[in-house]
Amino acid sequence: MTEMRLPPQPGEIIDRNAPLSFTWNGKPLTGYEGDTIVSAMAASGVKVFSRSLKYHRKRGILTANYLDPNTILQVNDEPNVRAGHRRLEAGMNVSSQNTWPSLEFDIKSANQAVGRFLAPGFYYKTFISPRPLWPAYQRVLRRFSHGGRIDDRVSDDHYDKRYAHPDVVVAGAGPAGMAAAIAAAEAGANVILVEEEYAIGGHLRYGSADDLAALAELSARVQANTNIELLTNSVVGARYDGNWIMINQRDPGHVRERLIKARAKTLVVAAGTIERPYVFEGNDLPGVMVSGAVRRLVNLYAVKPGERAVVFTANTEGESAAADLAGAGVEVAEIVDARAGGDLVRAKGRTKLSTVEVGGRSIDADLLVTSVGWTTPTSLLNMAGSRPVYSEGAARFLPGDLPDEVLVTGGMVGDGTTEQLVAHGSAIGANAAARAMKIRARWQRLTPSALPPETADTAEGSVPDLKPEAHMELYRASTHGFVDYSEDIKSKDLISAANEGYDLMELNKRYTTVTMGPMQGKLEVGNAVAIHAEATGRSIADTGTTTWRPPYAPTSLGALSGAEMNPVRYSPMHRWHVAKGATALVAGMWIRPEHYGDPAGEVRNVRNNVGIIDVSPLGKLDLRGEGVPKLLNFVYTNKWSRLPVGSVRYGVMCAEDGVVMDDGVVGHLGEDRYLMTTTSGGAGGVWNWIDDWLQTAHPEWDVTMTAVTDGFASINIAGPKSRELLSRLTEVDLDKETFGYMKVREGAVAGIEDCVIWRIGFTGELSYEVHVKAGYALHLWEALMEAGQDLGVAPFGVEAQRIMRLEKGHFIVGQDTDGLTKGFSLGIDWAIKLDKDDFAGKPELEWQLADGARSRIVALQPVDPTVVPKEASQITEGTEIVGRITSSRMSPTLNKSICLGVVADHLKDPGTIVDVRLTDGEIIKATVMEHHAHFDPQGERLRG
Amino acid sequence: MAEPTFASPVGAELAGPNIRISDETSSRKTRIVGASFEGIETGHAKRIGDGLAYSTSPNEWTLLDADPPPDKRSIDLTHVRAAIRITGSEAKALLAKVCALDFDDRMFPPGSAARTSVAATATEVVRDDKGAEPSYLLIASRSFGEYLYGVLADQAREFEVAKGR
Repeated sequence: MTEMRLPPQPGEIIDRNAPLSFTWNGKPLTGYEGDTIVSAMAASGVKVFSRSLKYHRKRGILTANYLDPNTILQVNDEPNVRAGHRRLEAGMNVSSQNTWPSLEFDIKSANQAVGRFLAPGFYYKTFISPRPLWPAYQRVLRRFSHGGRIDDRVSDDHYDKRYAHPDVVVAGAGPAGMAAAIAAAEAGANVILVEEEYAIGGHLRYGSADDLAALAELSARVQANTNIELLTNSVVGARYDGNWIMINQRDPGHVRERLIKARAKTLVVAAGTIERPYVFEGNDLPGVMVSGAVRRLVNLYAVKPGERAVVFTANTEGESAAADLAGAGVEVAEIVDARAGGDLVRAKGRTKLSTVEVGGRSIDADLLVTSVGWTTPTSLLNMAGSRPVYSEGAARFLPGDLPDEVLVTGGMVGDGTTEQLVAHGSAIGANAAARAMKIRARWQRLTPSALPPETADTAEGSVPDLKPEAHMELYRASTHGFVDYSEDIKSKDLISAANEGYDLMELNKRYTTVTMGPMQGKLEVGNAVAIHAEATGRSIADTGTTTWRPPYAPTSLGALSGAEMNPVRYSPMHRWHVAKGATALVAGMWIRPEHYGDPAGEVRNVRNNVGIIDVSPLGKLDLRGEGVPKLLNFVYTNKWSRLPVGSVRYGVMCAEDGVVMDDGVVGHLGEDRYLMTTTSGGAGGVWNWIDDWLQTAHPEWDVTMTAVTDGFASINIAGPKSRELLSRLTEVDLDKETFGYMKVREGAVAGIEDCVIWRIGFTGELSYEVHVKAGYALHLWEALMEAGQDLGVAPFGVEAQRIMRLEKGHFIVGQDTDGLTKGFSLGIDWAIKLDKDDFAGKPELEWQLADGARSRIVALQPVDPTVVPKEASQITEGTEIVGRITSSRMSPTLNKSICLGVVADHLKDPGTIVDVRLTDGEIIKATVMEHHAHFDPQGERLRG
Repeated sequence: MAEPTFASPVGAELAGPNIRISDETSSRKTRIVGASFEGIETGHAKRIGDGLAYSTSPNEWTLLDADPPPDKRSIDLTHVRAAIRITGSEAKALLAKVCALDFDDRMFPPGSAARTSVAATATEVVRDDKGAEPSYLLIASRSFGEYLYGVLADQAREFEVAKGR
């Protein structure tokens, strides 16, 4: 390979004192700090960078920037790196993607020979049948797809997000964008200026000495203005309603990528223009480039793009490229001026460009530069609802109508000298600031905490004209060539698709996949639309563009995901459980101990000795006021008017549709002071629901409700020795006569004041539930473990508790009930008092009673006590499903399988034998029990 | 038996050159309800003696280390909530990574209070400056305290925080 690095150039951005070593397909190369990967490779003489998607044709530099479809490479473990953009780093291992066995000899290039059979729709038409073979086809076709290699090991890269509330976001830091940012900032606006390149300046960076001087001045003003936050190597990826702007900040330090969610008051789009390639035979040969590629390579990176060039141009930019080439010592064989009738017919070469055919003549060249016009990247404007409008005279689409909070400047609007672009940008920036101030003032008035808005001058100034220059419409030569380099779509393919009936641009796009590759239409859309128009005989204006959707540039899944923020809740005893080897259970957001190694053993210890369980997630609502009994009467199905102080009552809540929504106990702690408990999972929902009733239906009730779930940690002490254990830590009288079942007391436990002690029992054992201030809960837990050593105290987890409650026949709302279970299906008719004036769900429950409950919760005993049917096993009657098992376990206490289930009403009577269908299809028999409780149905232990 | 000691879910203080993250969970917190209190409107906070009072919804206030007025119904929230204070010139930058609110001085000046989402957790944020330094109190349900502290510690790595400086 030949060294193509030029002597120092005036605007070069490489640091010749900082050489960097890297490898290309295993071969060592050297570049400089400031090089892109592509410029360093080009300087080392690399001409071929990739193979194309479908035909595996050799491809070289086309644009030498982010949008170069031919220089997407694998870098270390990262696939699909835009090597025309990415800065070179020392030690990079750069390789070509999806070439086998090598880039030079790629076996899949055989596709070129059968290319005429690979027309649009080839895959759809060929692999549609026989359908069963599709998975096999898929495996083979995947080997042909592009995309590099991902490393499936866990990456230690970090990504994150942040919110921003700028007054103005400016997308693009060319001359107009910089001027807009400066003007807005000088008007007092907070500005985020976003530039896709590593440095600001846009086309000034590779321009004349005057351009470089203008850049230096504008750049200094940007850097000096503290109202401007400059983000380089970043891209405005999307604009959503309310000017919600997505900014992808690449490599900001600390993290690999950061997604900024900016709620901008105004957005200024100054994205410039994108140079269009020309469609002609051989337009993808290595050595064919757009003028911008040449100008960047020569002026920014001091790279000689070739030795002998032909320049085909329809504008001054092509002339500038020719001048740059001449200055770089490239022999410019001919400048073919389309404006003067010059005609580029085709390019030829076996693996790279060797001859250019113009107007019947052949010219030997290794470089062909085209400059045939521009595409306006209106993506962000389209996302704001604007439809681009085609200008025949300028041969490009221009912005259509825009909402007030989106403004546009620079090359997207028109062409001009640097002074004209800066003047337009300044005027737009000042207006963007004025509009932003108005919006900010409105938001300040609407935000309770905000200061009153200051009076600012929000008058808008006039904006100087910036008209697009006249440009000839030049899309395709007399020959056919590639339109979409990413997808290997030729002009012929588009015409053929249109002829097949895909005669709307959006249909043609979907059929051929033109504009659907990695460049997402930024290079291709102008040519695609023009060729589709040609095929259909419509004008380009009537054809319209495809729809540009977010994101504007690829965004990694890491950036979209950001840092992990999945809230979890821990009880004060969490670390103790972890230290004791508890297996964690995720219950809602709570992390709970499922068991400490032996759930059955934990059950036996509770039944025989005493166990303690952390039930802190239990929902707790502090209720104060004279109106609490009215509230309780309303939200529960049973009666609450005469609950004495010191007593506890159980209640079931039904929603307005009569469906069971929660259950729990309420303790009457003192005058007008109650503590309600809810299920752990239902805590938030019940709080919302009750608050809704209090705020909307019954604001006249004197009730103050406070959610105190987190304030009290809850420890259930269960087992025959629980009274003995608790009595060692409290002066509260635990005598079974004075502090009986379903009573509540307050007092100090283990030296902690104001504990609430409940005599209730989900496990069916004698038990006390202590609610203790969370900050002291660990102290109590450890005190219980210490004080109960000789009693055999041991912790038990959620699994043991679930087994014991099933033994006792206590249902769990949400486990044994579902979204259709109405009150009377619970089998606790005694708790539903239809003689109350009113309560939530009453009408529905009256109707349910009149209709007869359709299903019932019952206890079921498998006839073979060794079989535990899985939860959700069907209960069947012939081919009908007549119920299901809702809970099932092997009972360590009874040494047999036990179940709760839902059965159709006609099967609810004790003694009925039902069929239970196991998951393997086997049918077993189970008997409906008299009580829900399999164990101690009379509750003697509970009340002991 | 040992005296009960207060345990907080929030970890040790983290400090960087321009930021400090500290635990104020042990502060006495009280919810009061009523028609008005000290002229503090919803969305605002006010220093009361050595304590602080703020309101994030109508007709209710939270007091931190301040005595509740005897004529108002009050509920102790000391153990219900965790409190984390973020102080320093980079406090806003850290908050911007976990909360969608606009903390611009015009939108959320000293004496502001709001109930919002911080790291996907319902949290009250109060601007309560320490002298000339911007300072924000985050008050969330206690059970989220450890998680919230963990997220803040993780997100503050770029501000070069370290424990126990």
